[in-house]
Amino acid sequence: MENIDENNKKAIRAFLIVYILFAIVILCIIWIPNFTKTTPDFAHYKEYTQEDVATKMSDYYTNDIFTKIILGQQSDIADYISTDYLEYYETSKEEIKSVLNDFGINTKIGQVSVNVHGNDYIYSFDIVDGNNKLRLNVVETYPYKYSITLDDFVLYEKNSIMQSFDKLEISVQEVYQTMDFIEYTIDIKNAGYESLEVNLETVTDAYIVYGDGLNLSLSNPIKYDDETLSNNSSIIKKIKFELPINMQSEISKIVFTNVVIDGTTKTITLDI
Amino acid sequence: MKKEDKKIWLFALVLVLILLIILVSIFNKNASKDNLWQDYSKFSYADAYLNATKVQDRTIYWTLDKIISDYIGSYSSDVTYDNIGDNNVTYEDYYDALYEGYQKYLKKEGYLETAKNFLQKFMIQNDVEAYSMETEGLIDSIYMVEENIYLCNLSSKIQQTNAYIIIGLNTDNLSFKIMYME
Repeated sequence: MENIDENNKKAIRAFLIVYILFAIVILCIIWIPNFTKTTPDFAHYKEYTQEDVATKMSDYYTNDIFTKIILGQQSDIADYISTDYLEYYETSKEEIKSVLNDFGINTKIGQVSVNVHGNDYIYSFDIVDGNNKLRLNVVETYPYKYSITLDDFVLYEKNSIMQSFDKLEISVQEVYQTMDFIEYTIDIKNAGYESLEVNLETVTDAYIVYGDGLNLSLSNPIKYDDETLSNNSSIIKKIKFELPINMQSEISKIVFTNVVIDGTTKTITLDI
Repeated sequence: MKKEDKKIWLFALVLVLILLIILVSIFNKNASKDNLWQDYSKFSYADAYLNATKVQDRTIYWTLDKIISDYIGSYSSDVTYDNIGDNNVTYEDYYDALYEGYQKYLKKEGYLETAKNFLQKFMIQNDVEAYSMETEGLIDSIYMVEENIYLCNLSSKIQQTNAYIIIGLNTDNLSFKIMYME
């Protein structure tokens, strides 16, 4: 009997040894590829920062435009002028080309400022030739995909949004964005009240909400001779806020705090 | 059999069961994680594209742009013929930068053929033997297929052709693997 027990114990010990070896082999199979396969040097990459990104394309755009100017390829630059710009100023690529023709082989490129506007990057710089000076803004929607605007003009959008508040209809007809301010052209319509008045006589009568709940009041008050809208009438107003371009994409609301509907003052919030 | 021996056998049995459970869970985990990349014979660009989300991040763009332009540049005749310097890497070397599953599927010969088909879309033929490569501004759009796995739509402005490449980034050791190209 003792022999059998001894055999049993030996068998169990042998089984445990085999089991442990088996477990080690399995673990090795799972882990060995990570130990034996080294990544070749060339298969490592460099991480880019936002600063790297900005300087990389600054150099590209300034070199590209400088080269085109000194080679007399002004029409190639004019081809990139944004259609928004042409539409807003009712001008043509030919006219832009004639402006650019004032710049020749002595042209110098000024310092570049980079602003981020939503997914767009905006590279702004002056080109100077003698007494001629012009500000160019390269509006990049994606690397190597861009349009160019001149001076302070950056973006222009038509018929953006329309919202109703009971019988008050507000539509943003145009959004004009420059490096330093944003201007909305809004159409206010009384669609059923006896009287409606959207006052903008003081700068606090309207403000925008941007970023993390920050507020910014109107840049200047707006006064019209007759602000009261009777039933089914409308008025168009331009409201301007002095907010730098890199924060303009963060605007979430326009709030009108002095809207008088049938004698009662209300606050109307327009979601952008 | 003694009661004590029975206990030991029972203990051994429990150990075997635990090992089996661990193995099954490991294999299941790997299977679900690498579902798309498990069987390259069934892999298609469209499958990868299906649930991908567009990437606008410029830092990712430039990271991938550098990887891709280096890879395409490695096919230039300057590199592949006589001027191989110490630091030059030829496109053949990139076999070692393939994702294991893709490497296993293509094997070396398959890789060379696939790579040539892909890289020749960006060739700028100077004469019969000398050619350079188009490497600037090739990425049209980037999609994230899975975390740190990116599908890049490329277009050649010179040959007017499209190409696709999927690259996986290992953000721990800043290395990459080519997971697919077409």
